[in-house]
Amino acid sequence: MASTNSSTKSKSSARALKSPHLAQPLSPTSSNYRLQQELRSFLLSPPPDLKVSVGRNLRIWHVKLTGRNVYEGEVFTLRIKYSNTYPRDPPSVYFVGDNIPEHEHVYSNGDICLSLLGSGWSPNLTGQGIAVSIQSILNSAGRKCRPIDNSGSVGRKPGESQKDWIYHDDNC
Amino acid sequence: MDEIESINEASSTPLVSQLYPISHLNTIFPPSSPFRPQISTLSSTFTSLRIIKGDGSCFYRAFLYAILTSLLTSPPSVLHRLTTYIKTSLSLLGDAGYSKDALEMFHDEFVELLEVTVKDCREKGGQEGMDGIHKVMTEEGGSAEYCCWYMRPLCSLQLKSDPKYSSFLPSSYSDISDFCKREVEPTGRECDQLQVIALAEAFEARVEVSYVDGHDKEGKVTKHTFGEGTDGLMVNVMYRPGHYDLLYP
Repeated sequence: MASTNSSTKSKSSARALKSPHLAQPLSPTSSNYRLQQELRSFLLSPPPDLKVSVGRNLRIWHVKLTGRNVYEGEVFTLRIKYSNTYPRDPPSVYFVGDNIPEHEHVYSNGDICLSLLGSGWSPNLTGQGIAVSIQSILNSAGRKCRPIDNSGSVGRKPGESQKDWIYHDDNC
Repeated sequence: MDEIESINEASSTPLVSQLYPISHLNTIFPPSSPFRPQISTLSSTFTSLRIIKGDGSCFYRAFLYAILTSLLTSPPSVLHRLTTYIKTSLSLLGDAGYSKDALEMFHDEFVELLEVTVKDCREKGGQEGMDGIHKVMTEEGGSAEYCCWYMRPLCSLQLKSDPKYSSFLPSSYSDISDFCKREVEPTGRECDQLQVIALAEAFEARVEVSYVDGHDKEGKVTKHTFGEGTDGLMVNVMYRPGHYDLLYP
């Protein structure tokens, strides 16, 4: 078992390090240093059921999230975009694609009602930390449903600043 | 409250103001203000003040400003003690579950601030040294901002380190972690007494808070002191509802 793990890990490490964003040695003085560090950790040791991919732009990540419990067998895609003011401001995070999870904190336009993306943001959080929090609210759901005020999100552009959102409880 | 907000919310407000004579408070609070009697009392104890920008990080910023200027004249051992504290904190925060990827840069800037900027300002001394600290503390998006962010997890770590803090916890929080997640770590969440105590004890500083609440017609000002500050680190602040400013005797 241990050897399987380590061989999987070394294979994924090798693949991770081929990412063009990590091909150059990381330099603490680069403005992308923090994001490169975050990406490196996410690629090298991804949490269970989460897989990050990055295209040409280091500031846009797609995270594949494999659902559990009521979402067993479903795969969702989170889009995380880091602005130039990250980490002072939170990244823009929402679900994309045809399958938007049916959850009481997830609007059908892909927006996620999560205080960490608005008034609860801290520069000490990371993109991976946000993805894990979203995974946790999905996996702890007892049933599938949309937010009560979902109709207001239809046609709304997802991923806009949640600065003025009012959250109903600790999470949303 | 309106008068307080109007002076602090403007985007042109510096993060930390120049040194004003204490009479400057009379321009903030008009003669009819219920705060005036307490302001008069403060004027007999303090000579000057600095106004801190009201963006929700004012206590963190005031605290850091006072610590750094205090370090200019304190024995070298105090700077050494604080540098050691900051240097060892990163792995402690990592062990406590915080992301090192996020914190490393803020930690490195804090160490740099102490080992390079403060050291340099100590060597210059006098007004030139003070100006050096003022410059780094007022730079928008500069290293002092990183340090203020870093002080939030440091404050959390302190609160979680000793069960005594939990006994002060308001009942609306399920435990100290819940409190830290909601009231300490998010940017823009202002310090209440519990955070002030934790920071004072974490940095081994002595924090004196003069409370100006506008409720005492006689002008009596309540003063609370937190932390020991045995090696001379001193922070003096005035608290008015939702805001802290720096005071100087």
